[in-house]
Amino acid sequence: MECRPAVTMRRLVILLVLITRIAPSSAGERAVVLVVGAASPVQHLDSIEVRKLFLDFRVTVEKRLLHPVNNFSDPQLRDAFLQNVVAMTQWAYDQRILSKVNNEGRPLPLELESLSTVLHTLEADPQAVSFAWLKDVVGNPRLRIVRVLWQE
Amino acid sequence: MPVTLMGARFDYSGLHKRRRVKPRRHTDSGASIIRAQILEEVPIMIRRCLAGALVLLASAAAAGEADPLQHQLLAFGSAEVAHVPKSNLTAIYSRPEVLAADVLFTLQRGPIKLFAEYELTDHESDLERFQIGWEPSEHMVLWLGRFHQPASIWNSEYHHGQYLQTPITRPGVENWDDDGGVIPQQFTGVLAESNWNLPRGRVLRIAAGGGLTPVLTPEGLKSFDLLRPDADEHRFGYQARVALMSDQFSESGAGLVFAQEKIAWRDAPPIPFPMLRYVDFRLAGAYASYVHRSWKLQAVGYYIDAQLKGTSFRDSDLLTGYVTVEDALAHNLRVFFRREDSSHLSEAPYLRLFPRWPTARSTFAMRWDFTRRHALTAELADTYTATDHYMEYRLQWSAALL
Repeated sequence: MECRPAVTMRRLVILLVLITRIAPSSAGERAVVLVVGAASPVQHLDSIEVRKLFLDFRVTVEKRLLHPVNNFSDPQLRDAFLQNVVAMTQWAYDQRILSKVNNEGRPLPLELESLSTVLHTLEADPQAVSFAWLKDVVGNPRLRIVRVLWQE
Repeated sequence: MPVTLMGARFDYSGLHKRRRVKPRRHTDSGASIIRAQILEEVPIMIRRCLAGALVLLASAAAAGEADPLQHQLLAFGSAEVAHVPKSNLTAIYSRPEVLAADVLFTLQRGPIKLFAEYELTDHESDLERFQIGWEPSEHMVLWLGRFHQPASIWNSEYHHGQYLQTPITRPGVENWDDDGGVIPQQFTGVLAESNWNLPRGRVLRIAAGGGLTPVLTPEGLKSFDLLRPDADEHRFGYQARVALMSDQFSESGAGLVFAQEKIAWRDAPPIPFPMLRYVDFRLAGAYASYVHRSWKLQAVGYYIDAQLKGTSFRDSDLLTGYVTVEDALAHNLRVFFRREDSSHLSEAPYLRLFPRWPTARSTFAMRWDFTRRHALTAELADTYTATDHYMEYRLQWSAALL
Protein backbone atom coordinates (compact mmCIF):
# COMPACT_ATOMS: atom_id res chain seq x y z
CA MET A 1 0.00 0.00 0.00
CA GLU A 2 1.34 3.39 -1.02
CA CYS A 3 2.18 5.64 1.85
CA ARG A 4 1.31 9.33 1.33
CA PRO A 5 2.41 11.08 4.50
CA ALA A 6 2.23 14.56 2.94
CA VAL A 7 -1.40 14.14 1.94
CA THR A 8 -2.28 12.57 5.27
CA MET A 9 -0.55 15.37 7.12
CA ARG A 10 -2.39 17.94 5.00
CA ARG A 11 -5.74 16.36 5.80
CA LEU A 12 -4.81 16.25 9.43
CA VAL A 13 -3.92 19.93 9.43
CA ILE A 14 -7.22 20.86 7.74
CA LEU A 15 -9.09 18.74 10.25
CA LEU A 16 -7.22 20.33 13.14
CA VAL A 17 -7.88 23.81 11.80
CA LEU A 18 -11.55 23.03 11.42
CA ILE A 19 -11.73 21.52 14.89
CA THR A 20 -9.89 24.40 16.54
CA ARG A 21 -12.04 26.92 14.71
CA ILE A 22 -15.29 25.17 15.38
CA ALA A 23 -14.81 23.31 18.63
CA PRO A 24 -14.76 26.37 20.90
CA SER A 25 -17.96 27.56 19.31
CA SER A 26 -21.17 27.11 21.08
CA ALA A 27 -23.85 24.92 19.58
CA GLY A 28 -25.48 27.99 18.05
CA GLU A 29 -22.45 28.85 15.88
CA ARG A 30 -22.31 27.41 12.38
CA ALA A 31 -19.90 27.36 9.48
CA VAL A 32 -20.46 27.13 5.72
CA VAL A 33 -17.75 25.08 4.02
CA LEU A 34 -16.76 24.52 0.39
CA VAL A 35 -17.00 20.82 -0.31
CA VAL A 36 -16.02 18.49 -3.17
CA GLY A 37 -15.95 14.77 -3.81
CA ALA A 38 -12.97 12.77 -2.54
CA ALA A 39 -11.75 12.29 -6.14
CA SER A 40 -11.95 15.99 -7.03
CA PRO A 41 -8.88 17.72 -8.49
CA VAL A 42 -9.73 20.81 -6.45
CA GLN A 43 -7.19 21.40 -3.69
CA HIS A 44 -7.71 25.08 -3.15
CA LEU A 45 -10.02 27.82 -4.42
CA ASP A 46 -9.62 31.41 -3.27
CA SER A 47 -12.65 33.55 -2.53
CA ILE A 48 -12.56 35.24 -5.96
CA GLU A 49 -12.57 31.88 -7.73
CA VAL A 50 -15.42 30.64 -5.54
CA ARG A 51 -17.45 33.72 -6.37
CA LYS A 52 -16.66 33.34 -10.08
CA LEU A 53 -17.63 29.68 -10.03
CA PHE A 54 -21.05 30.25 -8.46
CA LEU A 55 -21.68 33.30 -10.63
CA ASP A 56 -21.38 30.89 -13.54
CA PHE A 57 -18.01 31.99 -14.87
CA ARG A 58 -15.86 29.33 -16.47
CA VAL A 59 -13.42 28.06 -13.79
CA THR A 60 -10.98 25.25 -14.53
CA VAL A 61 -8.61 23.21 -12.39
CA GLU A 62 -6.03 21.04 -14.14
CA LYS A 63 -7.80 21.90 -17.44
CA ARG A 64 -11.04 20.43 -16.11
CA LEU A 65 -14.12 22.59 -16.01
CA LEU A 66 -15.67 22.83 -12.55
CA HIS A 67 -19.42 22.39 -12.07
CA PRO A 68 -21.07 24.56 -9.42
CA VAL A 69 -23.82 22.88 -7.39
CA ASN A 70 -26.07 25.17 -5.38
CA ASN A 71 -27.04 23.46 -2.14
CA PHE A 72 -30.40 25.09 -1.46
CA SER A 73 -31.57 22.33 0.90
CA ASP A 74 -31.82 24.83 3.75
CA PRO A 75 -33.07 28.42 3.22
CA GLN A 76 -30.75 29.65 5.97
CA LEU A 77 -27.76 28.05 4.26
CA ARG A 78 -28.83 29.57 0.93
CA ASP A 79 -29.18 33.05 2.45
CA ALA A 80 -25.88 32.81 4.32
CA PHE A 81 -24.09 31.72 1.16
CA LEU A 82 -25.62 34.36 -1.11
CA GLN A 83 -25.13 37.21 1.37
CA ASN A 84 -21.66 36.38 2.60
CA VAL A 85 -19.96 34.57 -0.23
CA VAL A 86 -21.60 35.73 -3.45
CA ALA A 87 -22.55 39.10 -1.89
CA MET A 88 -25.90 39.37 -3.67
CA THR A 89 -29.60 39.09 -2.96
CA GLN A 90 -31.30 36.08 -4.43
CA TRP A 91 -33.05 38.30 -7.00
CA ALA A 92 -29.75 39.81 -8.16
CA TYR A 93 -28.12 36.38 -8.20
CA ASP A 94 -30.92 34.93 -10.30
CA GLN A 95 -30.72 37.83 -12.73
CA ARG A 96 -26.97 37.37 -13.05
CA ILE A 97 -26.95 33.63 -13.71
CA LEU A 98 -29.97 33.79 -16.03
CA SER A 99 -28.13 36.48 -18.00
CA LYS A 100 -25.19 34.11 -18.31
CA VAL A 101 -27.41 31.59 -20.08
CA ASN A 102 -28.97 34.31 -22.22
CA ASN A 103 -25.72 36.05 -23.17
CA GLU A 104 -23.12 33.30 -23.24
CA GLY A 105 -24.99 30.03 -23.47
CA ARG A 106 -23.60 28.91 -20.12
CA PRO A 107 -25.57 26.15 -18.36
CA LEU A 108 -27.06 27.31 -15.05
CA PRO A 109 -25.42 26.08 -11.84
CA LEU A 110 -27.15 22.90 -10.74
CA GLU A 111 -29.65 23.78 -8.03
CA LEU A 112 -30.63 21.04 -5.57
CA GLU A 113 -33.02 21.18 -2.64
CA SER A 114 -32.16 17.85 -1.04
CA LEU A 115 -28.98 17.44 0.98
CA SER A 116 -28.67 13.76 0.14
CA THR A 117 -28.87 14.60 -3.58
CA VAL A 118 -26.16 17.23 -3.17
CA LEU A 119 -23.88 14.76 -1.40
CA HIS A 120 -24.57 12.07 -3.97
CA THR A 121 -23.82 14.50 -6.82
CA LEU A 122 -20.48 15.45 -5.25
CA GLU A 123 -19.55 11.81 -4.81
CA ALA A 124 -20.48 10.96 -8.40
CA ASP A 125 -18.99 13.98 -10.20
CA PRO A 126 -15.35 14.81 -9.36
CA GLN A 127 -15.72 18.20 -11.07
CA ALA A 128 -18.69 19.23 -8.93
CA VAL A 129 -18.19 21.84 -6.22
CA SER A 130 -20.78 22.76 -3.59
CA PHE A 131 -21.18 24.26 -0.14
CA ALA A 132 -22.79 22.92 3.00
CA TRP A 133 -23.04 23.34 6.74
CA LEU A 134 -19.94 21.87 8.28
CA LYS A 135 -21.98 19.55 10.49
CA ASP A 136 -23.57 17.95 7.41
CA VAL A 137 -20.30 16.91 5.78
CA VAL A 138 -17.63 16.60 8.44
CA GLY A 139 -16.39 13.04 8.81
CA ASN A 140 -17.79 11.88 5.45
CA PRO A 141 -14.95 9.87 3.84
CA ARG A 142 -16.40 10.25 0.35
CA LEU A 143 -16.21 14.06 0.53
CA ARG A 144 -13.45 16.57 1.10
CA ILE A 145 -13.75 19.95 2.76
CA VAL A 146 -11.71 22.51 0.82
CA ARG A 147 -12.14 25.54 3.03
CA VAL A 148 -14.38 27.42 5.43
CA LEU A 149 -16.37 30.01 3.47
CA TRP A 150 -18.21 31.69 6.30
CA GLN A 151 -18.57 31.24 10.01
CA GLU A 152 -21.27 32.61 12.25
CA MET B 1 -47.77 65.33 -48.37
CA PRO B 2 -44.65 66.65 -46.62
CA VAL B 3 -44.92 66.69 -42.83
CA THR B 4 -42.90 68.83 -40.44
CA LEU B 5 -42.55 67.65 -36.86
CA MET B 6 -39.94 68.40 -34.24
CA GLY B 7 -37.91 70.19 -36.84
CA ALA B 8 -37.99 67.29 -39.29
CA ARG B 9 -39.59 67.48 -42.71
CA PHE B 10 -40.70 64.16 -44.10
CA ASP B 11 -42.55 63.14 -47.23
CA TYR B 12 -44.35 59.81 -46.87
CA SER B 13 -46.51 60.04 -49.94
CA GLY B 14 -45.04 56.99 -51.55
CA LEU B 15 -44.55 54.73 -48.58
CA HIS B 16 -47.95 53.09 -48.67
CA LYS B 17 -47.94 52.63 -52.42
CA ARG B 18 -44.91 50.44 -52.76
CA ARG B 19 -45.16 47.79 -55.40
CA ARG B 20 -43.72 44.33 -55.02
CA VAL B 21 -43.07 43.85 -58.69
CA LYS B 22 -39.48 42.77 -59.04
CA PRO B 23 -38.24 40.00 -56.81
CA ARG B 24 -34.67 40.33 -58.03
CA ARG B 25 -32.78 43.36 -59.18
CA HIS B 26 -29.59 43.28 -61.17
CA THR B 27 -27.70 46.24 -62.46
CA ASP B 28 -25.84 45.87 -65.68
CA SER B 29 -22.42 45.85 -64.08
CA GLY B 30 -20.36 42.68 -64.11
CA ALA B 31 -19.56 43.06 -60.44
CA SER B 32 -23.24 42.95 -59.52
CA ILE B 33 -23.78 39.80 -61.53
CA ILE B 34 -20.82 38.11 -59.89
CA ARG B 35 -22.04 39.24 -56.45
CA ALA B 36 -25.49 37.86 -57.21
CA GLN B 37 -23.98 34.54 -58.25
CA ILE B 38 -21.94 34.39 -55.07
CA LEU B 39 -24.95 35.22 -52.93
CA GLU B 40 -26.91 32.41 -54.55
CA GLU B 41 -24.30 30.04 -53.18
CA VAL B 42 -24.40 31.53 -49.69
CA PRO B 43 -27.25 29.40 -48.24
CA ILE B 44 -25.46 26.27 -49.41
CA MET B 45 -22.15 27.52 -47.98
CA ILE B 46 -23.81 28.36 -44.66
CA ARG B 47 -25.46 24.96 -44.44
CA ARG B 48 -22.15 23.24 -45.21
CA CYS B 49 -20.32 25.34 -42.62
CA LEU B 50 -22.91 24.61 -39.96
CA ALA B 51 -22.96 20.91 -40.84
CA GLY B 52 -19.16 20.81 -40.69
CA ALA B 53 -19.18 22.62 -37.38
CA LEU B 54 -21.74 20.16 -36.01
CA VAL B 55 -19.53 17.24 -37.06
CA LEU B 56 -16.54 18.91 -35.38
CA LEU B 57 -18.68 19.52 -32.32
CA ALA B 58 -19.69 15.89 -32.13
CA SER B 59 -16.14 14.60 -32.63
CA ALA B 60 -14.65 17.05 -30.14
CA ALA B 61 -17.35 16.19 -27.65
CA ALA B 62 -16.67 12.49 -28.11
CA ALA B 63 -12.93 13.05 -27.64
CA GLY B 64 -13.39 15.10 -24.49
CA GLU B 65 -14.48 12.24 -22.33
CA ALA B 66 -13.04 13.91 -19.25
CA ASP B 67 -15.73 16.56 -19.43
CA PRO B 68 -19.30 15.38 -19.03
CA LEU B 69 -21.96 16.73 -21.36
CA GLN B 70 -23.80 19.67 -19.85
CA HIS B 71 -27.08 21.00 -21.11
CA GLN B 72 -29.60 23.64 -20.20
CA LEU B 73 -33.15 24.34 -21.27
CA LEU B 74 -34.57 27.68 -20.19
CA ALA B 75 -37.69 29.56 -21.24
CA PHE B 76 -38.60 33.19 -20.75
CA GLY B 77 -42.39 33.48 -20.82
CA SER B 78 -44.38 36.68 -21.01
CA ALA B 79 -47.93 37.93 -21.53
CA GLU B 80 -48.58 41.59 -22.30
CA VAL B 81 -51.57 43.83 -22.85
CA ALA B 82 -51.20 47.31 -24.37
CA HIS B 83 -53.53 50.25 -24.69
CA VAL B 84 -52.69 53.19 -26.94
CA PRO B 85 -55.48 55.79 -27.05
CA LYS B 86 -55.78 57.96 -30.16
CA SER B 87 -53.52 55.75 -32.20
CA ASN B 88 -53.81 52.75 -34.43
CA LEU B 89 -51.85 50.00 -32.69
CA THR B 90 -50.92 48.24 -35.90
CA ALA B 91 -49.44 51.50 -37.17
CA ILE B 92 -46.87 51.63 -34.37
CA TYR B 93 -45.48 48.11 -34.51
CA SER B 94 -47.48 47.16 -31.46
CA ARG B 95 -50.27 44.73 -30.64
CA PRO B 96 -52.98 44.86 -28.00
CA GLU B 97 -52.00 41.45 -26.62
CA VAL B 98 -48.78 39.49 -26.93
CA LEU B 99 -48.10 36.02 -25.62
CA ALA B 100 -44.49 34.95 -25.99
CA ALA B 101 -42.14 32.13 -25.06
CA ASP B 102 -38.44 32.52 -25.69
CA VAL B 103 -36.78 29.13 -25.42
CA LEU B 104 -33.02 28.84 -24.91
CA PHE B 105 -31.14 25.60 -25.30
CA THR B 106 -27.46 25.11 -24.67
CA LEU B 107 -25.24 22.04 -24.92
CA GLN B 108 -21.63 22.04 -23.79
CA ARG B 109 -18.85 19.52 -23.55
CA GLY B 110 -15.42 20.86 -22.72
CA PRO B 111 -14.60 23.80 -25.00
CA ILE B 112 -17.33 23.07 -27.54
CA LYS B 113 -20.86 24.33 -27.20
CA LEU B 114 -24.10 24.73 -29.08
CA PHE B 115 -26.52 27.53 -28.28
CA ALA B 116 -29.97 28.06 -29.77
CA GLU B 117 -32.82 30.46 -29.12
CA TYR B 118 -36.28 30.04 -30.56
CA GLU B 119 -38.95 32.64 -29.98
CA LEU B 120 -42.59 31.71 -30.29
CA THR B 121 -45.34 34.31 -29.98
CA ASP B 122 -49.02 34.47 -30.81
CA HIS B 123 -48.15 36.21 -34.09
CA GLU B 124 -44.74 34.87 -35.19
CA SER B 125 -42.03 32.32 -34.55
CA ASP B 126 -38.37 32.56 -35.37
CA LEU B 127 -35.03 30.89 -34.77
CA GLU B 128 -33.45 33.99 -33.25
CA ARG B 129 -29.99 32.61 -32.52
CA PHE B 130 -28.21 29.44 -33.52
CA GLN B 131 -24.54 29.43 -32.61
CA ILE B 132 -21.85 26.80 -32.55
CA GLY B 133 -19.03 27.88 -30.25
CA TRP B 134 -15.48 27.00 -29.39
CA GLU B 135 -13.87 28.25 -26.18
CA PRO B 136 -10.09 27.90 -26.65
CA SER B 137 -9.60 29.50 -23.24
CA GLU B 138 -11.65 31.03 -20.47
CA HIS B 139 -10.92 34.41 -22.08
CA MET B 140 -12.31 33.78 -25.53
CA VAL B 141 -15.15 32.17 -27.44
CA LEU B 142 -15.59 31.96 -31.21
CA TRP B 143 -19.09 31.53 -32.63
CA LEU B 144 -20.40 30.48 -36.00
CA GLY B 145 -24.06 30.91 -36.87
CA ARG B 146 -26.83 33.45 -36.41
CA PHE B 147 -26.28 35.97 -33.63
CA HIS B 148 -27.36 39.35 -32.30
CA GLN B 149 -24.90 42.00 -33.39
CA PRO B 150 -22.58 43.18 -30.60
CA ALA B 151 -22.89 46.91 -31.37
CA SER B 152 -26.33 47.05 -29.75
CA ILE B 153 -26.00 47.85 -26.05
CA TRP B 154 -29.51 46.91 -24.93
CA ASN B 155 -29.86 43.78 -27.04
CA SER B 156 -26.42 42.48 -26.07
CA GLU B 157 -27.53 42.64 -22.45
CA TYR B 158 -31.11 41.38 -22.61
CA HIS B 159 -31.65 39.81 -26.06
CA HIS B 160 -35.25 38.50 -26.01
CA GLY B 161 -35.32 37.86 -22.25
CA GLN B 162 -38.33 39.94 -21.23
CA TYR B 163 -37.97 38.79 -17.61
CA LEU B 164 -34.40 40.10 -17.42
CA GLN B 165 -35.22 43.70 -18.35
CA THR B 166 -37.01 45.95 -15.87
CA PRO B 167 -39.25 47.83 -18.36
CA ILE B 168 -41.55 46.12 -20.86
CA THR B 169 -40.34 47.91 -23.98
CA ARG B 170 -36.86 48.40 -25.34
CA PRO B 171 -35.52 51.74 -26.61
CA GLY B 172 -36.77 52.50 -30.12
CA VAL B 173 -33.25 52.62 -31.53
CA GLU B 174 -32.72 49.06 -30.26
CA ASN B 175 -35.93 47.67 -31.83
CA TRP B 176 -35.55 44.34 -33.59
CA ASP B 177 -35.32 44.21 -37.37
CA ASP B 178 -38.88 42.94 -37.77
CA ASP B 179 -40.22 45.36 -35.17
CA GLY B 180 -39.55 48.64 -36.93
CA GLY B 181 -35.87 48.86 -36.00
CA VAL B 182 -33.58 51.22 -37.89
CA ILE B 183 -30.33 49.44 -37.00
CA PRO B 184 -29.73 45.92 -38.39
CA GLN B 185 -29.65 43.62 -35.36
CA GLN B 186 -29.33 40.02 -36.53
CA PHE B 187 -26.50 38.59 -38.56
CA THR B 188 -25.38 35.22 -39.83
CA GLY B 189 -21.64 34.75 -39.84
CA VAL B 190 -18.87 34.66 -37.25
CA LEU B 191 -18.59 36.33 -33.88
CA ALA B 192 -15.60 36.50 -31.52
CA GLU B 193 -15.95 37.49 -27.88
CA SER B 194 -13.11 37.89 -25.42
CA ASN B 195 -12.35 39.38 -22.04
CA TRP B 196 -8.99 40.27 -20.54
CA ASN B 197 -8.03 41.00 -16.95
CA LEU B 198 -6.20 44.28 -16.54
CA PRO B 199 -4.29 45.77 -13.62
CA ARG B 200 -6.31 46.95 -10.62
CA GLY B 201 -8.99 44.36 -11.30
CA ARG B 202 -10.39 45.99 -14.41
CA VAL B 203 -11.62 43.90 -17.32
CA LEU B 204 -11.47 44.66 -21.04
CA ARG B 205 -14.24 43.05 -23.08
CA ILE B 206 -14.03 42.90 -26.85
CA ALA B 207 -16.56 41.52 -29.32
CA ALA B 208 -16.35 41.59 -33.10
CA GLY B 209 -18.58 40.01 -35.68
CA GLY B 210 -19.20 39.88 -39.39
CA GLY B 211 -21.81 38.30 -41.60
CA LEU B 212 -24.85 38.66 -43.79
CA THR B 213 -26.83 41.83 -43.08
CA PRO B 214 -30.61 42.06 -43.15
CA VAL B 215 -32.30 43.38 -46.30
CA LEU B 216 -34.82 46.18 -46.57
CA THR B 217 -38.36 45.26 -47.53
CA PRO B 218 -41.60 47.25 -47.52
CA GLU B 219 -42.19 45.84 -44.03
CA GLY B 220 -38.82 47.01 -42.73
CA LEU B 221 -35.54 45.18 -42.15
CA LYS B 222 -35.57 41.42 -42.68
CA SER B 223 -32.66 39.33 -41.44
CA PHE B 224 -31.33 36.11 -42.96
CA ASP B 225 -33.47 33.17 -41.89
CA LEU B 226 -31.59 29.93 -41.20
CA LEU B 227 -34.73 27.82 -41.40
CA ARG B 228 -35.82 29.34 -44.72
CA PRO B 229 -32.49 30.44 -46.20
CA ASP B 230 -32.69 32.96 -49.01
CA ALA B 231 -29.54 35.01 -49.51
CA ASP B 232 -31.10 37.19 -52.20
CA GLU B 233 -29.71 40.72 -51.81
CA HIS B 234 -28.18 40.05 -48.38
CA ARG B 235 -24.83 41.79 -48.21
CA PHE B 236 -22.08 41.81 -45.62
CA GLY B 237 -21.56 43.85 -42.52
CA TYR B 238 -19.18 44.13 -39.57
CA GLN B 239 -19.62 45.22 -35.98
CA ALA B 240 -17.42 45.63 -32.92
CA ARG B 241 -17.69 46.56 -29.27
CA VAL B 242 -14.94 47.42 -26.78
CA ALA B 243 -15.83 47.87 -23.12
CA LEU B 244 -13.84 48.57 -20.00
CA MET B 245 -15.50 47.21 -16.84
CA SER B 246 -14.58 48.34 -13.34
CA ASP B 247 -14.13 44.69 -12.27
CA GLN B 248 -15.08 41.25 -13.45
CA PHE B 249 -18.24 41.07 -11.31
CA SER B 250 -19.43 44.62 -11.80
CA GLU B 251 -21.95 45.92 -14.31
CA SER B 252 -20.31 49.37 -14.14
CA GLY B 253 -18.25 50.27 -17.15
CA ALA B 254 -18.03 52.18 -20.40
CA GLY B 255 -17.52 51.27 -24.00
CA LEU B 256 -17.49 52.08 -27.67
CA VAL B 257 -19.33 50.39 -30.53
CA PHE B 258 -18.94 50.48 -34.28
CA ALA B 259 -20.77 48.93 -37.22
CA GLN B 260 -20.57 49.14 -40.99
CA GLU B 261 -23.09 47.46 -43.24
CA LYS B 262 -24.45 47.51 -46.74
CA ILE B 263 -28.22 47.11 -46.79
CA ALA B 264 -29.87 46.27 -50.09
CA TRP B 265 -33.50 46.12 -51.20
CA ARG B 266 -35.11 42.79 -51.79
CA ASP B 267 -38.08 44.20 -53.69
CA ALA B 268 -38.50 47.27 -55.87
CA PRO B 269 -36.98 50.39 -54.33
CA PRO B 270 -39.42 52.64 -52.49
CA ILE B 271 -41.07 55.39 -54.53
CA PRO B 272 -39.24 58.21 -52.70
CA PHE B 273 -35.94 56.60 -53.72
CA PRO B 274 -36.53 54.96 -57.12
CA MET B 275 -32.84 54.99 -58.02
CA LEU B 276 -31.68 53.58 -54.69
CA ARG B 277 -29.14 50.77 -55.08
CA TYR B 278 -28.33 50.12 -51.45
CA VAL B 279 -27.81 51.86 -48.12
CA ASP B 280 -24.24 52.28 -46.92
CA PHE B 281 -24.84 52.22 -43.17
CA ARG B 282 -22.32 53.24 -40.52
CA LEU B 283 -22.81 53.44 -36.79
CA ALA B 284 -20.57 54.66 -34.01
CA GLY B 285 -21.63 54.81 -30.41
CA ALA B 286 -20.57 55.19 -26.82
CA TYR B 287 -22.13 54.08 -23.59
CA ALA B 288 -21.59 54.06 -19.85
CA SER B 289 -23.23 52.16 -17.01
CA TYR B 290 -22.95 52.76 -13.31
CA VAL B 291 -24.34 50.40 -10.68
CA HIS B 292 -24.29 51.27 -7.01
CA ARG B 293 -26.24 49.10 -4.60
CA SER B 294 -29.77 48.97 -6.01
CA TRP B 295 -29.24 51.96 -8.31
CA LYS B 296 -28.46 51.47 -11.96
CA LEU B 297 -27.78 54.30 -14.41
CA GLN B 298 -27.04 53.97 -18.09
CA ALA B 299 -26.40 56.39 -20.95
CA VAL B 300 -26.17 55.31 -24.58
CA GLY B 301 -25.53 57.45 -27.66
CA TYR B 302 -25.34 56.45 -31.33
CA TYR B 303 -24.25 58.40 -34.37
CA ILE B 304 -25.78 56.97 -37.55
CA ASP B 305 -24.57 57.79 -41.04
CA ALA B 306 -26.66 56.21 -43.80
CA GLN B 307 -25.82 56.99 -47.42
CA LEU B 308 -28.55 56.22 -49.93
CA LYS B 309 -26.39 55.03 -52.80
CA GLY B 310 -27.69 55.77 -56.26
CA THR B 311 -29.82 58.71 -55.17
CA SER B 312 -29.12 62.41 -55.01
CA PHE B 313 -30.24 62.62 -51.39
CA ARG B 314 -27.75 63.85 -48.88
CA ASP B 315 -26.20 61.48 -46.33
CA SER B 316 -28.38 60.79 -43.32
CA ASP B 317 -26.54 62.02 -40.27
CA LEU B 318 -28.44 61.30 -37.09
CA LEU B 319 -27.74 61.37 -33.39
CA THR B 320 -29.91 59.28 -31.13
CA GLY B 321 -29.67 57.82 -27.66
CA TYR B 322 -31.22 57.26 -24.29
CA VAL B 323 -30.56 57.49 -20.59
CA THR B 324 -32.04 55.16 -17.99
CA VAL B 325 -32.20 55.16 -14.23
CA GLU B 326 -33.65 52.47 -11.98
CA ASP B 327 -33.78 51.72 -8.29
CA ALA B 328 -35.34 49.25 -5.87
CA LEU B 329 -37.99 50.68 -3.56
CA ALA B 330 -38.10 47.34 -1.78
CA HIS B 331 -36.34 44.03 -2.39
CA ASN B 332 -39.06 42.97 -4.83
CA LEU B 333 -40.22 46.34 -6.17
CA ARG B 334 -38.25 48.31 -8.78
CA VAL B 335 -38.92 51.61 -10.54
CA PHE B 336 -37.47 52.56 -13.91
CA PHE B 337 -37.31 55.70 -16.03
CA ARG B 338 -35.93 56.10 -19.54
CA ARG B 339 -35.66 59.12 -21.81
CA GLU B 340 -34.98 58.62 -25.51
CA ASP B 341 -34.27 61.44 -27.92
CA SER B 342 -32.86 62.13 -31.37
CA SER B 343 -31.47 65.09 -33.24
CA HIS B 344 -30.71 66.10 -36.83
CA LEU B 345 -33.86 64.31 -37.98
CA SER B 346 -34.27 66.71 -40.88
CA GLU B 347 -30.86 65.60 -42.13
CA ALA B 348 -31.80 61.92 -42.23
CA PRO B 349 -33.72 60.88 -45.36
CA TYR B 350 -32.97 57.27 -44.31
CA LEU B 351 -35.65 57.65 -41.63
CA ARG B 352 -38.31 58.07 -44.32
CA LEU B 353 -38.08 54.31 -44.61
CA PHE B 354 -39.14 53.93 -40.96
CA PRO B 355 -41.96 56.45 -40.43
CA ARG B 356 -43.23 54.75 -37.25
CA TRP B 357 -39.88 54.76 -35.51
CA PRO B 358 -40.10 56.61 -32.16
CA THR B 359 -37.94 59.70 -32.38
CA ALA B 360 -38.45 60.66 -28.73
CA ARG B 361 -40.03 58.89 -25.77
CA SER B 362 -40.26 59.05 -22.01
CA THR B 363 -40.95 55.74 -20.30
CA PHE B 364 -41.81 55.03 -16.69
CA ALA B 365 -42.13 51.46 -15.41
CA MET B 366 -42.73 49.75 -12.10
CA ARG B 367 -41.93 46.06 -11.61
CA TRP B 368 -43.07 43.77 -8.82
CA ASP B 369 -41.36 40.39 -8.43
CA PHE B 370 -44.24 38.69 -6.66
CA THR B 371 -42.52 35.33 -6.38
CA ARG B 372 -39.20 33.88 -7.41
CA ARG B 373 -38.59 34.36 -11.16
CA HIS B 374 -42.06 35.81 -11.81
CA ALA B 375 -42.75 39.52 -12.20
CA LEU B 376 -45.58 41.90 -12.98
CA THR B 377 -44.66 45.17 -14.70
CA ALA B 378 -46.72 48.27 -15.47
CA GLU B 379 -45.38 50.79 -17.97
CA LEU B 380 -46.42 54.23 -19.17
CA ALA B 381 -44.79 55.91 -22.18
CA ASP B 382 -45.16 59.27 -23.90
CA THR B 383 -44.04 58.71 -27.48
CA TYR B 384 -43.29 60.90 -30.51
CA THR B 385 -42.80 59.61 -34.02
CA ALA B 386 -42.18 61.72 -37.10
CA THR B 387 -45.93 62.02 -37.66
CA ASP B 388 -47.61 61.14 -34.39
CA HIS B 389 -47.69 61.65 -30.65
CA TYR B 390 -49.39 59.22 -28.32
CA MET B 391 -49.41 57.69 -24.86
CA GLU B 392 -48.85 53.97 -24.33
CA TYR B 393 -50.04 51.93 -21.33
CA ARG B 394 -48.79 48.41 -20.84
CA LEU B 395 -49.09 45.60 -18.32
CA GLN B 396 -46.96 42.47 -18.45
CA TRP B 397 -46.33 39.21 -16.65
CA SER B 398 -42.87 37.80 -17.28
CA ALA B 399 -41.04 34.80 -15.89
CA ALA B 400 -38.03 32.55 -16.19
CA LEU B 401 -39.28 28.97 -16.45
CA LEU B 402 -37.84 25.43 -16.50
